[in-house]
Amino acid sequence: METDVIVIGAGVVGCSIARELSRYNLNVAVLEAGSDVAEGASKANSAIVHAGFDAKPGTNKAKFNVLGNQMFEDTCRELKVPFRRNGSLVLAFNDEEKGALGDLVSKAAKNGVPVELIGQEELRRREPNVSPEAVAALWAPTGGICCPYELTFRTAENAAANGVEFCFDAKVVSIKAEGDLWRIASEDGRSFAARAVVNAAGIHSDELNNLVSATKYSIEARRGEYLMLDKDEDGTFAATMFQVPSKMGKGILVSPTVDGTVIVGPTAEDIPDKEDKATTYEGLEKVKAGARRTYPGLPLGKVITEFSGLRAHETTVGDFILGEVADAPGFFNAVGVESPGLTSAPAIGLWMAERVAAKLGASRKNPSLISKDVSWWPKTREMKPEELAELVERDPSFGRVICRCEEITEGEIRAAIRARVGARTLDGVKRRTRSGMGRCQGGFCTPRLIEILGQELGLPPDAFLVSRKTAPKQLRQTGSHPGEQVDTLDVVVIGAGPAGLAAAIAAKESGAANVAVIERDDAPGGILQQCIHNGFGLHRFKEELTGPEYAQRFIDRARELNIPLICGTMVLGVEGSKFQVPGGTDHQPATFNVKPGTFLHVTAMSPRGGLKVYKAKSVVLAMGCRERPRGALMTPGTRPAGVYTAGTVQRLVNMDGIMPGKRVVILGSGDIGLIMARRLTFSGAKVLACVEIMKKSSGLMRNVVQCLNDYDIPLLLHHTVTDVEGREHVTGVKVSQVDDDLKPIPGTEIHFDCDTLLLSCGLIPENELTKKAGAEIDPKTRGPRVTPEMATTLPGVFAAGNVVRVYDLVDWVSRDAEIAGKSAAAYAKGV
Amino acid sequence: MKMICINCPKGCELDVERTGDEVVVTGHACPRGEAYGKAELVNPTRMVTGLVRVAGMRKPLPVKTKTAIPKAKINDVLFALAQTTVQLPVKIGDVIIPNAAETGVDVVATTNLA
Repeated sequence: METDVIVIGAGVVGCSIARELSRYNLNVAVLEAGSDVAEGASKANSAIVHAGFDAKPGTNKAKFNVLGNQMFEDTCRELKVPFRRNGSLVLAFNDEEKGALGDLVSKAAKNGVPVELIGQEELRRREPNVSPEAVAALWAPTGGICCPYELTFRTAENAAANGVEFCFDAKVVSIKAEGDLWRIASEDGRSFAARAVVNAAGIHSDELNNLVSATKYSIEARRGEYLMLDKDEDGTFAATMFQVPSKMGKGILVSPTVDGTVIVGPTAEDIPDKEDKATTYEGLEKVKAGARRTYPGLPLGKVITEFSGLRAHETTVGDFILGEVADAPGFFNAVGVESPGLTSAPAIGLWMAERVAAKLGASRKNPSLISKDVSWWPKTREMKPEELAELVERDPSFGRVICRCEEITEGEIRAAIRARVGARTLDGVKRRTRSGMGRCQGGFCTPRLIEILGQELGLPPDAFLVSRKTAPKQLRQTGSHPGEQVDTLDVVVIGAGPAGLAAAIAAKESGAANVAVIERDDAPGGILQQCIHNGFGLHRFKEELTGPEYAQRFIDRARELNIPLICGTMVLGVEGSKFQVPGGTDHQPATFNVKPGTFLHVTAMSPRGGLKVYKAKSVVLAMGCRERPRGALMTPGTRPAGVYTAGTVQRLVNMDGIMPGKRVVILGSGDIGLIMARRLTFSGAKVLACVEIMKKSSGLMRNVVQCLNDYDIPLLLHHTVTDVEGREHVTGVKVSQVDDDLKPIPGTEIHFDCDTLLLSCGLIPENELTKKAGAEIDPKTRGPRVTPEMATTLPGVFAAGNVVRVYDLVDWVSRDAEIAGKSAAAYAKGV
Repeated sequence: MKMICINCPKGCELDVERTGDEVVVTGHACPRGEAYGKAELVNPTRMVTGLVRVAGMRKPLPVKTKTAIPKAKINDVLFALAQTTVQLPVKIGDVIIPNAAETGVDVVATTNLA
C-alpha cells in the first residue's frame, strides 16, 4: 500500500494526529500492532484531563497539557463523548506537603493554570469523605475526567469517516528511506510506503525512532496498577483527589469517572518488560494503602475490577519528544508521550498535522467536505422512555438487553461491531459499549456476546474465547414471547426462575386472577436451565431431579394455570404511582407511594413488544443472583482470555455446546465450581485442582465427595491463586498457601500449567431493580429487608428466592417464594 | 469405614462397618442414609448426568441415567453418550440410550428440545 502519510500507533495520540491529518488533502493510513484502537496506555490510565499545574514550566508536557485541556470540551462535543470538568484537588497531609503545594502554585502561574489554595475546613465542606488528616489542598478548577477509550474510538471513527484507513495486526518491523518514500514492513509480511511517517507507537516509539535516527531514545515501561469501585460509590468525591506528586508521578489518586464508577491508583513501578500488564499482590496493596490516606473509608467490598497500564517513560530527555527527526526528513516523532498524554492528545494532533502537512505541501480540505460523523449509536440506558419506545419499534434489537449490569442492548453491540473501525474482539465490544464492564464483569453476557460477534463477523462463537484482545480470522431467533396484551394485572412477577415461577403459581392458586411473569432470558427456568446435574427436589418431590426437570414441573404448572410467561423482556424499573408524598424518607422516596386503588408501574422492554408499562397491584421481585467476578477477588496477574466464573462455563458447556479449555484450575469451592469440576471431567478436560482460601469448602460436603473425591481432584484448602499468567490466553496459575490472616505465605507457591481458570467464590443477590425502586437493603444478606410474609419496605412489593438471600437448596427457594406469591395475591385483593 | 452421605445437603458423616454378613451403618439421620452407607461399601453407585450431541445444532441435549448405576460403569456410560447423536424433537423422559453400557439402566432426556 502506498499513501501520503502513515501514522504508526492507534492510541489516542496516533488517532488524534490521523484525525487532524484527515482535514488536509492527504491520503492517510494508521498501522497498529494490536487488533484494535486504544490497545496500549490509552485503554488503561487514570482517565484524567489534567489541569497542567504539575508539569515543569517550559516543557512540551506543560505546553501541550494546557493547550489540550483548553481543547477538550470542544473535542469531546464534536466526537460525542463524555467529558466533565469536575476540578482537581491536591491534598497536603503535613506542613512539608503544604510547602509543596506552594511550589505547585508558582508552577501553575508559570504554566498559566488557574489554581487556588484552600484550607481544611473548606476542603471538608466540599469533600465530606476526605480524610480528616488532610490539612490543606490546591484546587484546580480546570481539571476534568473523560473516557479515554471512547475518546480514542470516536476519534478513529471520525478519521475513518474522512478517509483514513486503519490496518490492524500490523506490527512494524522495518522502516527504510528510499528516495522520497519511507518503506515499512510489518511482521506478517505486508509492505507499506508513504511520503511521511508519524511515530506514535507509545511504549515502542523509541524502537521505531532508533530504526531511522542516530539520536537514540530509551523508553522504560512504568507500570501503574488500579482498582475500580462499583457505581454504588458514585458521588463519594466530586473532584479528582490527588496527593502531592513525587518524581515518579502524580501519586495515588481517587477520582470519579464519567461512567459513575470510582477509579483508585496508580502505582508507579519501572519494569523491564514492555508487555507486562499483570497486576501484583504488592502493587494492589500499595494502591489500597495510598488510597486510604485520601479516603480512609475505602470499601474493598465494592471493588469490581483491577487492571494495570504502562506509561511510556522516556529516560534520556524526560519530556514529550515531538516533531520531525533531524537526520530522517519526513519522519516525525511523538515519542515518550506519557502522562499528561491523554490531555495533550488533541493539541499534539493539531500541532503535528500542521507540521506534516507543511512538509508535504498539502492544502486544507474545504470545511464543507469534512465529515462530522463518528458512527454514533443511541445509548438506550440514557434515553427517555418515549424515545426508547420509538427506537425499539424501529429496530427491535435495541429492545434486547444483553449486558444486564450496564443495560447494554443487542442493537448497541451490533452497531459497535459494524462501525467503520468496528469491534472484532470481546475487549473491543466491551470498550465501545461497556458491556461486560459492570459488576458481574461479563459473567452473564459473555456467551451472548461471542454469539453476536460470531454472527456479525462470520466466525464460530468460540473463536472469540481464544484471546480477549487479538481478533480471530443472521440474527438468532430470540424466541421471545410476543407479550400478552395485558395492561393491568393483579401480580407481576419479575424473573421466571424457580422463585418467580413458584411465586406466580402460588399467587394464582390463592386467588389472584391476573398474574404474569416477565423474564429477561429467552426461555423460562432461570439458572436451572443450565444446572443439568441431579440433586434437585428431594424435599418437594421426594425424588432427585435435574435442574431442567425441576424447572419444567413449575413451567408446566404455570401453563396449566394460564399464567403468561413473557420472555426476552427486561424490566427496567418498578415505580409507584407518581403521587408525591411530603416527607418521603431515603429508603422510601416521595415518588414511591401506592394509595388504595392505584397501581405499581413495571416498565419493561423487549425486541418485539418494545417499551411497555405493565400496571400491577403488587409485584414480586425474583431476579436471582450473580457470581462474584474475578475483579472482586483482587487476584493478581495478567487479564487474559480463559478466566471465567463457574456459572458462565456451565452455560457455555451445558447450553451452548462450547468447551472453553482442557486443563482447568478452579478457585473457590462453591457448589457451582464443584459441580463444574465433575462436568468438565466428564467432558474430557483435566481438572488439576480446586483451590479454597478458607480452611473448609464453601460448597456442600456431598459435592466435595461426588464431584472431587470420586475423580481424584485435589482440594487445596487454605490456598489461593496468587498469579495468573498468559498474555492472550491463560497459560498457567500460581497457587500459594495462606496464613491465618489469609495473606499468601512466600515460598509455598505451586505452579499449574492450565488454559482455564474457573472462579467459584460466592454469589451475590442481584438487586439493581430493588435499589432503583428504593427498597431498603439488608447489608448482611445484600438483599431487600423482608418481613416473614416476604414483603419489602415498599408497599405492594414482595421478594422471593436468591434476590433476598443466597439459598443453598432450590426447595427452600420455591417454599419461600410461595409465601411471597400468596402475600402478593392477598395484597392485590386489598388494593 | 468413614464416609459422607451424598443424598442431601446435610452431608451426614457415616460410619459403615461389616460384621460377618451384615453391614452396620451409624451416623445417618434418615433411612436413605443407611441405604447409601450399605450400598457404598458393597456396590457404590452414582447417577450420571451428561450431554449428547443434537443433529444439526451446536446446543447439546442434557440427559441422565434413569437410576443410579455402578460407579465402575461411569466411564462406559460417558463413552456411550459421546457416541450418540439425537434427532429432534425430544421430550423429557424420552429414552435416548436403552440399557446404556449394559448397565440395565436407560439414559433419558431431561429437557424438552424442539
